[in-house]
Amino acid sequence: MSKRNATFTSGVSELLILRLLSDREMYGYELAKAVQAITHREIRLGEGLLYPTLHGLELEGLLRSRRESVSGRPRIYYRATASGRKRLTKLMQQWRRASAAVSSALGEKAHA
Amino acid sequence: MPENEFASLKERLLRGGIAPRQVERLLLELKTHAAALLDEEIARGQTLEVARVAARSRLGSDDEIVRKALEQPALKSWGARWPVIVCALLPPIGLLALAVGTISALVAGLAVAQHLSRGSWEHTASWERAVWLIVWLVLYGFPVLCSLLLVRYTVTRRLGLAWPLIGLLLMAALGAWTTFTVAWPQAGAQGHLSGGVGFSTDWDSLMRFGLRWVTTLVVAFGLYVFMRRRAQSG
Repeated sequence: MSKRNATFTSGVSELLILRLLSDREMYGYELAKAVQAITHREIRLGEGLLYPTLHGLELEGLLRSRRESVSGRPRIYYRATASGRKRLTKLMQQWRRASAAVSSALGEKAHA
Repeated sequence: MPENEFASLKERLLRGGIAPRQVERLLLELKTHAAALLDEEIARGQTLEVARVAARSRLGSDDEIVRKALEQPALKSWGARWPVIVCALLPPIGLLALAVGTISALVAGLAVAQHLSRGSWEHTASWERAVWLIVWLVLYGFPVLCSLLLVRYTVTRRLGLAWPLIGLLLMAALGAWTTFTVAWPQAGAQGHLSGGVGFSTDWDSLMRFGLRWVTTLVVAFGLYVFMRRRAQSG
């Protein structure tokens, strides 16, 4: 599978995370709710699956985090860095190209 | 959520090579998230038991979480990514550097003491004790200490034993081959320090080498067995 196709199929969570965290900082639970809200509940990943992606993005320098305790519960807030916003722009371009290609292919098939 | 709710997930992540620091952080966030989901389900009118099952289900299965974590190479420990370098090569090199650094510090300390005394320096009982302690550390303490650190690193990261075993054997051999002697200045004769790595084939030297080599390995394996049992009992 090519890198672009791999991004198309498995990079959705990375794309959504960077999109949401480029606007404002959020912690995991809040981010899971926001993903459901902006995708109109069409994308429902296991909410715990966000964290390995968040940690990986942070180690790549695409996110930064800060820890805070709220009502005795620790919260780790994440926000996109400048590199994260650059990656978001690139991912959005890839996604739009791939999405347009699939729409075009489906449209041609429907009219055949 | 029960305290041991994520014990199996933790073990699977560690066995997958995820760094302990990343595992602890992941579990902390999962526990906090699960607690928030539990509150949400209870607020919807679910019983505690039903709410607990629903909250755990919404987090995703252990299989999914482990798979997602393993997709992130950056989350893996150095020992899992480069076992040969981290477990077999770096420990003996580190031991050698520690010994050389310590002896260099000792030589520098003696030189400074001589310089400050402007030629009238004489070794005292406290100097002899300090030097004896350093010699003991270099010959016996450091090999055992470095071996224990490697064992601890291996067990806490659930690494396979093959490469750490090679690292241990090399460190034990290097420690046993190290020689270091001190001769204090006598009337009319200068003192000297000499050290090196090497072995002799005479029976006494081989016995001394074997004793030091085996001692290091026995202590290291004792800790390995103890830590593995403790890790397995949770």
